[in-house]
Amino acid sequence: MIDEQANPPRIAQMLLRATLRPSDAESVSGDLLEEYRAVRRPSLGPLRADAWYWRHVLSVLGHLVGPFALALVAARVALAGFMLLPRSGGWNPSLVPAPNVSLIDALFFLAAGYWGARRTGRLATGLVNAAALGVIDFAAFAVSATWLFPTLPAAIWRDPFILLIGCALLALAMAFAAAFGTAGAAVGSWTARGRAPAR
Amino acid sequence: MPEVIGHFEQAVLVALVRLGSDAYGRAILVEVQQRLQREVSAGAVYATLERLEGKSFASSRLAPGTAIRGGRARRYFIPTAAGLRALNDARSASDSLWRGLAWPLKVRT
Repeated sequence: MIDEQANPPRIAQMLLRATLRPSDAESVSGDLLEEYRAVRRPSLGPLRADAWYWRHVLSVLGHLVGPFALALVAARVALAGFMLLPRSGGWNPSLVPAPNVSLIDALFFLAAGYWGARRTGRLATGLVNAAALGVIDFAAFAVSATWLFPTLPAAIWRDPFILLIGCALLALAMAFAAAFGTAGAAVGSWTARGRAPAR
Repeated sequence: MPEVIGHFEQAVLVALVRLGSDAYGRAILVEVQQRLQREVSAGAVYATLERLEGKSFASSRLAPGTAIRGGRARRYFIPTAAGLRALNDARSASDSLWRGLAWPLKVRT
């Protein structure tokens, strides 16, 4: 039975609206809400319908952040190749000895924040873009760490202190992404003011 | 030289042609899924629609929403003349590619 009062997760709705251009926010969120209420919720039930909604919100976000994530991975691979050269000495200065807080990361978070805010004219879009890129970046680090140290997942299970360190590194990486993303977003939303809307 | 459109762009543009005056986001998503016979993400469809508008292959207008969408507006899309020309070119190119071959191709095992 169709429930016209049923609502998808509030956080997912906020994330979707923060990601979209003002001219698309109404129509795209309305499309997903209509499908959620008319088809998914009655046929799938609340939990699976919420999962469906989340998946599509993340797909919208993924299409915005995806190019940055691919470019960041490519930059890392290129940098890793460069560091293999004799006497290169390695180059990607970090402020602190932790993953995902290097100069390359800072540049990408700045760019993601700038581009997102410039696209919609809103600071929040840039921040969401940079935060999403931060999550992908940290996930890539976690995967590569597990690949280099296959015993890591088991060690986390055995020793909660390692999990605590992992959480601290994630918090640091996300704060770094948020700080540089906000800086980029501030410039992006400022430059978008003088621009005519896309539609 | 005419601008080449990708496979997914063709799928979305053909959906606009098929749906006619009913081509709004959700209907396009459902139509593309049915035609391609696979799950398609909303992000892919909206990004493609944005790209098609950027290439002037489609245009859109807002219309009032209904109660089931919380009163949120619907955005209806129509293919432009340039979009239809691009579709015709894509179809001609595909037909030309296949001309003279018996279909389906026989698979030798």
